[in-house]
Amino acid sequence: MKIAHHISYFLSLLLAIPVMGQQFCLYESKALDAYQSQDYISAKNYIDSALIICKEKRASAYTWHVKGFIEKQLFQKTQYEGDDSKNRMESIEAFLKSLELDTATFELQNANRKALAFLGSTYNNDAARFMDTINYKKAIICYKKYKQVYKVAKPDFNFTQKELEYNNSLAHILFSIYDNNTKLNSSFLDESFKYYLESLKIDSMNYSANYNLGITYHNLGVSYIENMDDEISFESLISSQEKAVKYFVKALPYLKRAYLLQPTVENNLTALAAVYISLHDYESSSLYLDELNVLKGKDEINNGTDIENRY
Amino acid sequence: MSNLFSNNLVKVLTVLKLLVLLSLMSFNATGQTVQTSDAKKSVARQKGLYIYQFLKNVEWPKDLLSGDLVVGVYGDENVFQQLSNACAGKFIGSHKLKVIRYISNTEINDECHFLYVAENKSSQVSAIAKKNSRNTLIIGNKVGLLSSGAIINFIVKDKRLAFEINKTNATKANLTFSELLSKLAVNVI
Repeated sequence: MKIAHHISYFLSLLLAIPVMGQQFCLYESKALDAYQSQDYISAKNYIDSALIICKEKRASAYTWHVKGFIEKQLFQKTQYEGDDSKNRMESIEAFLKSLELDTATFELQNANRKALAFLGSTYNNDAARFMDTINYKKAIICYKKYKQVYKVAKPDFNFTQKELEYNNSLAHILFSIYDNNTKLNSSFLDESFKYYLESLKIDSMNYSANYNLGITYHNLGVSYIENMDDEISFESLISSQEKAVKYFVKALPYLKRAYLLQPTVENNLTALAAVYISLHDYESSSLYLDELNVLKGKDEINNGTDIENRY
Repeated sequence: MSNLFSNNLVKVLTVLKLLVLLSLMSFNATGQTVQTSDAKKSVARQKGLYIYQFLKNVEWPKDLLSGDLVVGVYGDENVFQQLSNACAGKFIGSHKLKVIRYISNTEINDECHFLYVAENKSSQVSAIAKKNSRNTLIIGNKVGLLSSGAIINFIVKDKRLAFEINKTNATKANLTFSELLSKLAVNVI
């Protein structure tokens, strides 16, 4: 069956030779026929032949447009596991070429951009899928491609929200890598901060970046103390404490901003109460715990404990 | 009829599949959380480490210290846990460290050399000090306790845990502070 398929394809190529150099290109016509009968592999072979043999077609927005759709179909039909698909890339390149050539009538522009938007969104979805501690590098590559393609597809698209989500998600993954082995992966901590700060550059009132930065700084301080050796020298105990305090102090403005943005989120109140405990400011901590108490419908926090036992 | 239904179902599923494909998946940015209990344990850890340093930097007269060096903790489960862990199986000189916990002040007796009194029990420091007949070194946890019978007192300075000492009372109790302890105390009276 496969051999017969190839034979018919090559026969059609031979039959097509007389039309070379003319505006009409049999390969393109056959590619369209094959596309319509959902034989996308043959369609691809024909359209690629058209672009090689019928040289004038290389300057045709329509031919590239057709190639774009054929490659897009092949991409959608293929189960791909990796971070990339050759068909997807070729489809994007074809649509971009078609857009570039479609300068006279712009009749293909809308369809080209729609197809590019779809293909771009698949990169975004891959980036989201790969966003974990093992595949995050693939996520970074996919996200870059998503932006490149989507910018062309939707020139007016506002990426702000997407950038914030991506930065915060990547920052979280990088922190997880650091947290898995703080000594071996120490460089990932700064990387994580970098992406949270990127988010804050875009929107200083971004809740997720503020909350997570605050929590990260606080937990770093706590880890610093937890990891002190029992036999630490007296002087080192004091200097380590001072380092931990710096982290706790750094946590405060971020957590306060998170609280300002979402005052009824219990985690914000708990986090602020925790930071103030770490800073030995029990009065301020109590204020947030009381607020949390009210929020939780009272009694839940102090169930079986009195206020003195909070500390 | 059933064919029509299954055709409709296929159409609905296809539309749903398309919607999923066309929609931009969101990135998950679930972060860390923090509990006040973690912060409390961290504070208790610092206190435990400090108390362990106090044990190493206070010299006892031989007639008052024979056998185990006993540390009592009154009123703070976290500090008791931290201190127990820090002292487990350890010796200061030839004295094995022993940590015991008191739930009520009536349980406090002459057996301990050091007694840590939690902040919420601070009002009892004076009474405990008066009852103290064995030179127990009381570690307080509230500003002003050095004048109420505590010999070492935890305070907060520049947002960090620090300590002050009452050298006069220590001398009266025949206890000697190391130079290091005196040097690192933020206040010496």
